[in-house]
Amino acid sequence: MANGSVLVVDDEPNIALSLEYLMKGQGFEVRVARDGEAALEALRERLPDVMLLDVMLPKRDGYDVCQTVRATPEWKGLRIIMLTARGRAIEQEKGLALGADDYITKPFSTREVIERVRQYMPVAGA
Amino acid sequence: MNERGVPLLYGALALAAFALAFAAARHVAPAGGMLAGVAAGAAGAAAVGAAWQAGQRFATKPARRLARGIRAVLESRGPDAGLSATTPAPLLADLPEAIDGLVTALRATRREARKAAQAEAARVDAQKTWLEAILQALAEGVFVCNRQHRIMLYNAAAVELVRAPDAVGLGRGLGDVLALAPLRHSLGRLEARHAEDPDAPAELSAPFVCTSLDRSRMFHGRMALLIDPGGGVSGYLVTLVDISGELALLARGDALRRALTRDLRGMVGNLRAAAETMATFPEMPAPDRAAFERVVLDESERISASLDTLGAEIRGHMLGRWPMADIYVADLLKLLEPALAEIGVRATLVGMPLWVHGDSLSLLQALEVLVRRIHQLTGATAFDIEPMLGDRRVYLDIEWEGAPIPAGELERWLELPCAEEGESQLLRDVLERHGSEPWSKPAARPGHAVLRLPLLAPERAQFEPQSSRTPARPEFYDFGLLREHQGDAALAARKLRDLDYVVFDCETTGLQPAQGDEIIQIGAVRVVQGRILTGEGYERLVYPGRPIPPGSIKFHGVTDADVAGKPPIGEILPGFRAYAGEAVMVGHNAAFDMKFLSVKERATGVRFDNPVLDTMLISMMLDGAEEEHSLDVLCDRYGIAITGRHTALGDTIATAELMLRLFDRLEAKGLHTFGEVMAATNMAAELRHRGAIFAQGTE
Repeated sequence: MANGSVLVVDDEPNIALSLEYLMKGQGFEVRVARDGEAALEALRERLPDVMLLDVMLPKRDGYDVCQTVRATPEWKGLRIIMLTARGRAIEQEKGLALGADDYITKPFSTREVIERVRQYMPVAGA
Repeated sequence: MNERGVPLLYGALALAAFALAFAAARHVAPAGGMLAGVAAGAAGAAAVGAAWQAGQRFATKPARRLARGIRAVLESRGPDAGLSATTPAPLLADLPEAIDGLVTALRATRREARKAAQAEAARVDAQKTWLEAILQALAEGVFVCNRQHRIMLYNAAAVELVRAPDAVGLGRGLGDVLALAPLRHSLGRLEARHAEDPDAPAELSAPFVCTSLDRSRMFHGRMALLIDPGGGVSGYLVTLVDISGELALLARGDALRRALTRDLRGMVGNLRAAAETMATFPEMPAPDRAAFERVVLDESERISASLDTLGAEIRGHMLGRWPMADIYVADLLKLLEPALAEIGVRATLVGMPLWVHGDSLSLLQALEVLVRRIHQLTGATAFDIEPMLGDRRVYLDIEWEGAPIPAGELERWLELPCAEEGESQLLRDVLERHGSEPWSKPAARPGHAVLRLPLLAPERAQFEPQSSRTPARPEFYDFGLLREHQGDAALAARKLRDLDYVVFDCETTGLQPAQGDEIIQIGAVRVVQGRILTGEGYERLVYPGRPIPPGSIKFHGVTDADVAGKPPIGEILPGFRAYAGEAVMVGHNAAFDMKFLSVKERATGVRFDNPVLDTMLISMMLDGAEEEHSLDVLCDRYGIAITGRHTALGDTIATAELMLRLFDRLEAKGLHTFGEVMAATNMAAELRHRGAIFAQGTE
């Protein structure tokens, strides 16, 4: 049985693949979306517990997705962790202002990502 | 007397009994007349008839069954073939038991013979394993082919290289994966050379360049002839190296040279002309002079920008030229440990180890220099090294307790030699080659600092296991193919064991292809030169586009969840067609599976026009249609163990083994060629007939 569910939203195939692997390794159910629209589509289909959301995305960027999520009452329970570029404090501030729960800067430590996602899982026992 | 004579004899006996009884009755009771005579005659005939019936039931039929069993045991060479359970036959006395004893003894002898053969084979096998290990470890792709370009041997690298795993296989044409023209040319040239001067071995290999069949990859190859003990050419060996990447680099190099010579020369020419003009005419009017000055400024700027771009390009160019490989960071750190321990420094790998791309030794030396310098500057003795995942790079974070390294200091370190002895490269050279420029900053942990070293991302996926189609112990060579004389004889004249077979089995949603039942799984295995190549097995689940009836699941075990997200049959069949190639397709009740394939022909355009062999029909021909010929019963009869019964691949391997046992028996009957078997089983007509039955009521 899955311990929780994660939606990975990143257009970099290497990152998406790696995050998918890392999250599956934690026993989470994982889906991957490669752009902002696909992310919203995936949310409409089924709401995960946590969304790992890259800022720079094709079609609709991460801020846009974040804003849409927060404007949709039935998605209230979704926790959003934004993946931002290194050293762009403005990106982090903007993400948090638009309703993200947390952010992780790229490049990221695999350890940190796992810890952070577990922390936001509603059933996090660890 | 033959079997047909027996009923005749009994008929004659009955007639005689009738006549005798009739005469006797007339003699005993002449008054009784005709009626008593007829009655007595009939009773006599009936008694003979009953005797015949009893003889049939208790002697003839059991004897016939016994004879069939004995023939089967004799014709089958396997040690496990035994008599099927005998029915009671009082008239044969203890003959069945005696024969059973004989068969048991024969089985024991056969088993011993097989054990001896196996021991010998194991010894040969052990030596072969070494050769196989060496061959599989070679980075170059290796193919050995016969003169008809059919593959007799290949290694894992060859499969990787041509990137068409389903098309590489023993007995397959090399032309299925490579453009053959350069190989034909090289073979012709080498053969001519060999004919001219058979004693010049050095002349017997030649380099060539060829492309993959789809022209997406380019290879540098070398061909060597295989000379048999008689001095004839029996085939050739080719080694291949992928040079697609190098060609791209060469092209980039050419572009760089062009930019340097043509573009820069133009700009420098303009600059020089302007400068010379101003020098030659110092008194020129101010507006003219200003124009020339602008030319000098503009061209200088353009040259400077071009040099920057070229510099970056050249660095990138060098990046690709140095021999690099994917390196596991954990391995790198393990190698770093001893050198650091010497100076009392410990580096601990933190987090998940990742892969990077680079020159392992240079990177190791660079890391050592950096850690040593940090240690000297800050006094830190404990370092955490953590790989970080970026979009297009992997970063190594070296963290210690203390202050960050000032930028100027780090800049000076870049000019240090990377290794103590020999012609050492500078740290800057190594890092630039890896596209790396380190920087230092305070770490997230208070009181700690980090030096971040960007590195190249690996070519492989970070976490996914490298997929390798070639199993640990594959069947990747078969020199029996050397003896083959292909192309000079029709299929019918070829020996059964010389043909290539693809034994296959389809699991389906039901039994009626024309009424919407669909294939949900295809399993297949190739049999070449009488060997079952389980290492080249084929198994695909297929999305049927309809629910799988629960009733059928108990037969194949494939559920809706298993096929969800699998490709539909239209996407599977072209690949299976390529797998089947020109081989003879074999199935147990092949008409059924072929029908499922043929109903898809119109929709997919994929046509299976291979010759077809049905193991069930062969078995029927050998033992008579009245026996049972299901796969289970036949496997039991021939002592074949089925692993994974009713999975497509399990059934397929069992069918392949059955086919080989049936070949033994066919040969014992004097049926050696494909044509003879087709004729004896009336295979083509039977298959057509059975195919029509499967289509009945639907078309």
